[in-house]
Amino acid sequence: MATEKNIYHIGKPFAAMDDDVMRPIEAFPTKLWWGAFGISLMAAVLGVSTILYSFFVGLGVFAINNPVGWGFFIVNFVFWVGIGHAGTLISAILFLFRQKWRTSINRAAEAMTIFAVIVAAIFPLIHIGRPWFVYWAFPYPNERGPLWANFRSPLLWDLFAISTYFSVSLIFWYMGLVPDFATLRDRFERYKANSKIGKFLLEMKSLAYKVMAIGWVGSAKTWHHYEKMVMILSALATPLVLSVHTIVSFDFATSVIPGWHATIFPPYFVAGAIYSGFAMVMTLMIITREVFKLKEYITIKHLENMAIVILVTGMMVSFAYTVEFVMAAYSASHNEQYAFINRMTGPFAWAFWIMFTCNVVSPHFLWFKKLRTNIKVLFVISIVVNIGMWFERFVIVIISLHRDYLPSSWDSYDPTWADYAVMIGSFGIFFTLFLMFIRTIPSIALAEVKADEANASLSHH
Amino acid sequence: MSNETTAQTKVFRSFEEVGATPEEAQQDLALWNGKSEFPSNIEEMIERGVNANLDRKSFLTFMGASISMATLAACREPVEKIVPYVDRPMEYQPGQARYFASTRISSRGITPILVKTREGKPIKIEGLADHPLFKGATTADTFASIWDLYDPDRVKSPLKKDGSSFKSVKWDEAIAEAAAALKAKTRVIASPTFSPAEEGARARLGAAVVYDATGTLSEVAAGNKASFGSATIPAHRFDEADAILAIEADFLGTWLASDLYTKQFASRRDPAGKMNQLFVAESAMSLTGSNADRRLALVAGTHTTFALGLANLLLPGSALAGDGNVRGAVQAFTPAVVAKVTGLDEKQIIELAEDLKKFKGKSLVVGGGVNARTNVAGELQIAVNLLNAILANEGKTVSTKAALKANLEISDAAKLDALIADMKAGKVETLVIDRCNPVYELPVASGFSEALKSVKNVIFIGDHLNDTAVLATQVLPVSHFLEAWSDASAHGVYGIVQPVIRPLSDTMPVLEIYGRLTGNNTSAYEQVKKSHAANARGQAWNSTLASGFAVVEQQGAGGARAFRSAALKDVKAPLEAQVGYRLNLIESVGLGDGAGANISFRHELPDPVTKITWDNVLLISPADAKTLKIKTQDLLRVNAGKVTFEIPAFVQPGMRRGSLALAIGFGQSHIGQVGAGVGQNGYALQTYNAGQIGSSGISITLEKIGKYDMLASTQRHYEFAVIRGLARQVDLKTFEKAAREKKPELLHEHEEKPFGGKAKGLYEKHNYEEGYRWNLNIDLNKCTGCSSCVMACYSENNIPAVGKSEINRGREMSWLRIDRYYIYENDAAEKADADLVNPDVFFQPVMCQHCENAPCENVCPVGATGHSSDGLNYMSYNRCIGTRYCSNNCPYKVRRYNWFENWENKLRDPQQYALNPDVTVRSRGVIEKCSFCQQRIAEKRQLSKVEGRAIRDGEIQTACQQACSAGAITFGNINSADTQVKKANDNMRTYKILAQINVEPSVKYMVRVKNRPEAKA
Repeated sequence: MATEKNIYHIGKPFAAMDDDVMRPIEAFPTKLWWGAFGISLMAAVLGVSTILYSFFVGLGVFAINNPVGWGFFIVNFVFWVGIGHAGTLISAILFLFRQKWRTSINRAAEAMTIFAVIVAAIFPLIHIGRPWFVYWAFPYPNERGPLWANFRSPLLWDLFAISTYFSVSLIFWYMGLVPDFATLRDRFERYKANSKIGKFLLEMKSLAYKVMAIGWVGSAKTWHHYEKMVMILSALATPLVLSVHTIVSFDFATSVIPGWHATIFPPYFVAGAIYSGFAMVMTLMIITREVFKLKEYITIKHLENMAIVILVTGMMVSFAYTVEFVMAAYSASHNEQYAFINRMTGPFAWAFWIMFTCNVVSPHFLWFKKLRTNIKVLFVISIVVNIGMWFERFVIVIISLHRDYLPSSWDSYDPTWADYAVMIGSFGIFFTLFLMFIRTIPSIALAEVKADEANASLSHH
Repeated sequence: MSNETTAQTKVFRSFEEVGATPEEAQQDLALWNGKSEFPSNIEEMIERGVNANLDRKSFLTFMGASISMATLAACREPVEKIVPYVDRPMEYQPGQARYFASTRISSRGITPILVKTREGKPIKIEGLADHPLFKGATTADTFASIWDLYDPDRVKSPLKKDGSSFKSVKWDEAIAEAAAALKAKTRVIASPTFSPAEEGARARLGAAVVYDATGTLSEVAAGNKASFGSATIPAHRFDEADAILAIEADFLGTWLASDLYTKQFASRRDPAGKMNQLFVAESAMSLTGSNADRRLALVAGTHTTFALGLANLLLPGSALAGDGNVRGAVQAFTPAVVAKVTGLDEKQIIELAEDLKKFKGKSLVVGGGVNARTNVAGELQIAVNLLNAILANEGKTVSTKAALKANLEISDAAKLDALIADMKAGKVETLVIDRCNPVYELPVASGFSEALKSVKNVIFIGDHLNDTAVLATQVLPVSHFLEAWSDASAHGVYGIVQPVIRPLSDTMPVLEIYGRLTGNNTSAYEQVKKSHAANARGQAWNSTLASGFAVVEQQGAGGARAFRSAALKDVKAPLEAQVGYRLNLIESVGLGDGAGANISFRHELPDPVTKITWDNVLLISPADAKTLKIKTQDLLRVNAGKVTFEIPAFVQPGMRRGSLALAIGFGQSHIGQVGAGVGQNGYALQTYNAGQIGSSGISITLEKIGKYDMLASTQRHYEFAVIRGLARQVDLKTFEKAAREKKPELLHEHEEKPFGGKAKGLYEKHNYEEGYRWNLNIDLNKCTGCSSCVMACYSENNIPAVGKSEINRGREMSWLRIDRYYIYENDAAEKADADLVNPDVFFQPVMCQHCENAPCENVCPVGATGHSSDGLNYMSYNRCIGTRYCSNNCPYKVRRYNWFENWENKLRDPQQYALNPDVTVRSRGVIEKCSFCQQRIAEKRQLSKVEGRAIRDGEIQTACQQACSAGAITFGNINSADTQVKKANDNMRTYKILAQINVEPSVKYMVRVKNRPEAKA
């Protein structure tokens, strides 16, 4: 363990660490930030206005048809829910397993989770034909007699799974933030005394952090309670990491459609979610550490650890693909067999082969230490993996639907401008939120890093 | 409130006061006495308020509430007054349908109909089940004709040319002007009519040149005139024939009385009974060809060669064997010559002749339609008559008793040619065009539209501003057949066309137009009554009116005619193989001759074979497509004579190299908002030879132009894959063996019981111990794919037409679709057929299967789709939020989604009247699907309850069942032992599609049996 401690040891005074991490929050935004924010916001506006347009005109503006009743929306939904997996995994499961290296990345990962789930939650809402009646899906007491939510429907389970996951993730995230908000509160108190310009804004910011810190004093007792609570929340959040994508996979697995109807789906989806989630964390972390000069906190060792997780989950995903094919071949169901032949050779075979290349081939570069410690390689692979995972959902949703049982109803799927607009919009919303996050909230869990640092110092010096 | 109120009487304003102390109650009572219940002014209110311990705050609360409630009172829904019948017609019950028997006349004949009206508006046309001959038989076109009535683009008042446009005029003015024009040198051009009253009335305008657009009537009539002396279209007894040979005659789809013929044909398709055998020789794959037990693909335009070749082989030993004319006419057509010309194998022709020989007197040969009209009038029909005479069918399966039409009034080619010449020469000052569209329908080569320019007065009688009407000087709008009196005589039956609604706009029955133009003001009603007296064989008027018809002559054997062999002299069938591309024009099931092209549903109905909507396509053989490297959708430039246009290609199996086909009825420049500009005009390509129009074997050139056009197809072409178990057919031998040995597994692999019957569902099974359980059974051996059911379903269930671009996106709304598959018996057959590609065609109607273990039901998050106690998978539109999960999870993909709003602000007045008020229209964002005509079930259930009995077997008919001329569909309760549907389900041929996924569909299918001729060594 000693070597590990050495690797993550930063060796800076706490005040200097504060300065490093708080810099993006306290300084005026750079041009780079403004540029990124502007582009993201524009994308978000494009997406939202397209959605509003579809509310007025009808879902016909998208490419979905009969038989492909679910298109880009559900692909994006599963994709974003998958992204939203890494955060809680890192903060809860890695916490329980005492993986110290998680401290530098868990904050951003959790933020990513929250935003990804927000983005994901948009899709089920907008993909329904009469979104103004979406509340009918909630089991609330009403005047409609026996008409209630149908508890047999996996979509309803989805609703519960995702809202639970979102609430717990949000609480978890916020709780972890409280000591850091207190630090910010204290620092802003100091600035307030010195600053002459931008007084009002500073006041407001200071007030906000004060409220968010909910009176944190940092006493030994507070810390004691805090750590107990983190432990309990981790234990609570752990099953959720597994349940969310398990239940999302039920949307498909409980159906009768060849290519959907498979028992491998729950573990396969969870592995895929972690795979894509980690890839997304890696993409974001590489950018953050470069732009905000946090290389001391997010070291190459952190990234290497993530790379290993990606390699392992990537192989799990590959294994699941194999199992699906073997099961289809072994099933003696010609519909099932055809579904998989069609994946590889049908009109959407290109999507399958993109998926295959990105998800099955690309992680194997990470076997080599030289490559998995190379930032550029990691950055490229992290993006490639997410492209692959997006196509995995494309393959599952669209390829399975476009040719199911009766050849007479087979059709194609041809995305329209609106599909792309909403997809771009989803990235826009995500990055807008993320960029706002790094400007207002410490992107590294300072308190935890400091605690580790202190522990390390205690045992070393 | 009065002063008499005593202390004993307990009066209270609210329930709170009841429990008050006696003192308080007393105090309250005192307050009441002498005062009105509600304070009339503010002072009193304040006073009372103070007395009632109303503090200032409460007062303000009340005042605030009062003000807000006062404003609420202003927000009420606008009052809509429903005006009840002040003087309700007798027997008229609002909300209940009334039916009127009538007759529909189309360009191909007549169909006895029953018109369903609600609140005085016709909403659906159904077949007249009581008719002795038709027994309810209908075509898709008949169902579509209800929308003709409510077509917003109909001419709404008489029009007069005013510069380059038309202006609306009064009838009196229009009639006066037209009558004046008639005094000049007048000629009349018209289409054939089946109405004795109209025929008589029209004659007063002058001798008309009568032509028919598709040529079916004229060809058959001309051929019969040449062969037998009179232009009579005989009765074809498909029900009496053991073997049928159709040469370029799509009698199940578009040829003459296809509705009646379908019924007769299907009545002999029970493999357990005496099943008939159908041979079809044709160029393009037609509906009839799709149903053939053996189909011979001819090169386009070589049908007469084929017929004479057959006659040559059959002649020895027949009654006409000694006739020199006949021998002389046929002897050149040896099997070798015929094979060379038609593209068939010699063996095929000889085998067919051998087969037909076995059915002397019990066979039926038919031929001739638009796809067989060559330069010699009635050529094929003469050859067909010869064949029927040789086979001794004349007087048996072909009979003049109860003929389709005796002495059809139709002009020969010379008269048409003379008319056009006269018009050109300025010898015609006034031309009356009576309900036909010659500018569109006559070949460009005829020069009719040029000649029309030399005519001073062009009086157009019709319903749409079509290509001819726009060139007229005067347009006299005729009423729809549901708005006007008329009559019809065909098939030995006299029928009445009775109005069921007053004309929706300022139109006039054609009988009255004729009358008033010739100074006769008798109403159409009187004219029809008079005609009835002359034609109905003394049947009482009221009785004819109630039943809709009077039987004049029964169908039956007899009426044999002697074949005049001299007629064969004019027949000039090709003896040499052709060069280049030959085109046959064909009629489409949806559009027919094109007169109804302004109805979206006619375009939306997929062609039964190609499954293309909203377009006509150039059908090209797979062999040519391979040579020319043409794919379906590639645009081709077609050229014939002076006519050139671009049209998408469609590679159609079952066509011979060098043959092409194109549907007529499309490509009209003017007809209305819907129909104008859809597809290309095939009529334009017709040849013209001194008045004789040729539409078969037209020599054309083709050019690939490197562009393509998106075709809206409801079923795309894919490689043959995974259709095992869906489309099941066996040959008659196999069926007989299975029946003998009681081995249903010979007919269909036994997938009916997945997991050996041990498959378990997650949920409890539905319980039907009491009551009904509805099931539907489709006999695929009877189903011809005619698509009548699809159109009836559109009409019954208010299904929207969505147009080409939406269908292109895969968003057609039809609740009932007919899947078309191509089948080869085995790989060897496919290999042997590699060049021709002439597989079997298989039709399978698919609607919601109302599964017992419905996959759609458990996935809906809001429970909008569920299972009813009588076995229906129901859909609550109002509850649906539109997740489309049910549609994804439907293995049959029968659920339809409303991608856009299809109704609100989408209908043009008066289209809304065509809606069935018993079926709700569905808003945007909800799923819809087949309900087993729930409204019909509900209606009969109600009736049975009122009458205190159970619903009788066969009492409920679904719209598709009712529309099926072939009688392929059975519907009923399987909870009762002896229902028709139960018997059908127990039939050995019955199977379920996708039985292996254990969804337990309530719709079952019966294996198709092909009565293949025995194979020769």
